[in-house]
Amino acid sequence: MSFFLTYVLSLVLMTAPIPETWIAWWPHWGILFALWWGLMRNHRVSMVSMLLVSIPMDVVVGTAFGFHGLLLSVLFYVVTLIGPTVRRVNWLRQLGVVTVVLWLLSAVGYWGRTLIGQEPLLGPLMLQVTLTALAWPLFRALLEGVARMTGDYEVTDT
Amino acid sequence: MRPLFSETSVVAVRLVIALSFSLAVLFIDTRMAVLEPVRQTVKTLLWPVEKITQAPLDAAAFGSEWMATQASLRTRLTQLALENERLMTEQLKLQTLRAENAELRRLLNVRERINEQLLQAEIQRLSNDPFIHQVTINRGLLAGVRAGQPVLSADGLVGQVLTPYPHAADVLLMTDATHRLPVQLTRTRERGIADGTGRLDRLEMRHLPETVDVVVGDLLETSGLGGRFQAGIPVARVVEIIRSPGQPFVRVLAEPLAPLGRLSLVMVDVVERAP
Repeated sequence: MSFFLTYVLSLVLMTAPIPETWIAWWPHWGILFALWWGLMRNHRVSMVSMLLVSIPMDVVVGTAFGFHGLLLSVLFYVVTLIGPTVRRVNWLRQLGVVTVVLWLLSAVGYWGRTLIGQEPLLGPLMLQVTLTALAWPLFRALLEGVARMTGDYEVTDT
Repeated sequence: MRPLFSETSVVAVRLVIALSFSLAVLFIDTRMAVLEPVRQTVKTLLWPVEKITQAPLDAAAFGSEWMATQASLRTRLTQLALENERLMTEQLKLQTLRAENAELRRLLNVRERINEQLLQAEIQRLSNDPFIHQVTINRGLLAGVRAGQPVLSADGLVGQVLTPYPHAADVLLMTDATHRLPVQLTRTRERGIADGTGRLDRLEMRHLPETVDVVVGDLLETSGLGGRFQAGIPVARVVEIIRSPGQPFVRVLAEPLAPLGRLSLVMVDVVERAP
């Protein structure tokens, strides 16, 4: 499966023009993209590739350069450590682990945002992170489907 | 024999390097403006992606326009003709007021304000991050848009151009938590700084003295200090005054006059001003 195509897909979802009232309910597709590659295809990506893909994410979201680099590098580190175990468990347990990981990531994000002068409210921040985690099984199923269609059988069903 | 560096420690070292790099870039980007060309280049390269995401909306707009009946178009045309008549009458009054204003300024020996040159732009998208109040407009460097130019709506100030690209520009709304705006109370000319709060319906003035003369309903306008915005642009209306006993400062909360969450068209003041 093409790293580039899934990346463009996540960028398209990140730049999609959505109404202001929906923004808080919109998952962070860039994080889901990094989670998929970090967790399911860890041997094909590296910390450097995570840093590189974070640059356009900063541009489309409007954050300062380095903000998404901070998030993706922490995420990649954590999923590299827990990946071998988490890959094998069923989707529900995987969802639980992913939720905890993303909550941890939201703490890093909170700190990063305070560094760039924002005053993020904890409620909307947790809401977005939780919704992103809840979108994980769907996102994973979607990419697994695409992977099967394109003849990429690396992931075994859980 | 155990290897000197395990796989985990190698990943940890990479993490430390990546974190150091990210924090350094974060610091450079927030404190200095040296990375703006990188941002402009990346955004220009991402232009096709943004056009793809915009395509369904454009198609829907085109479809609804195509489906409009002749009768509805005629009704709309009549409404617009009436509106045009009203605006032309208003403009006549405005010209008289401008002439009077210029005469009074001449008598008071006050420098004439520079006339604004407004460029109409359409809001293409909002930032999908709930903590960033930023919009992208469809006019950019090619149309004369530059960083720092004020962005207005019919009701008042909206924000300022943050990063212009060839075909678009990012606009930072005045309610963004990182935005600071020099303002004054229209009634008393008391000056202060209106801080963005991260909420589209709130601005906050934090450091007004306890003795300040302010009441709910007062209007805030730009003070012209800082040289970025000309003085007198309507900004917000005071909705709450918080006086805490024993505190030397009063907190004033205000609601922006421009409906920032519902805007679709804005105007960019493209006149260059000396800083």
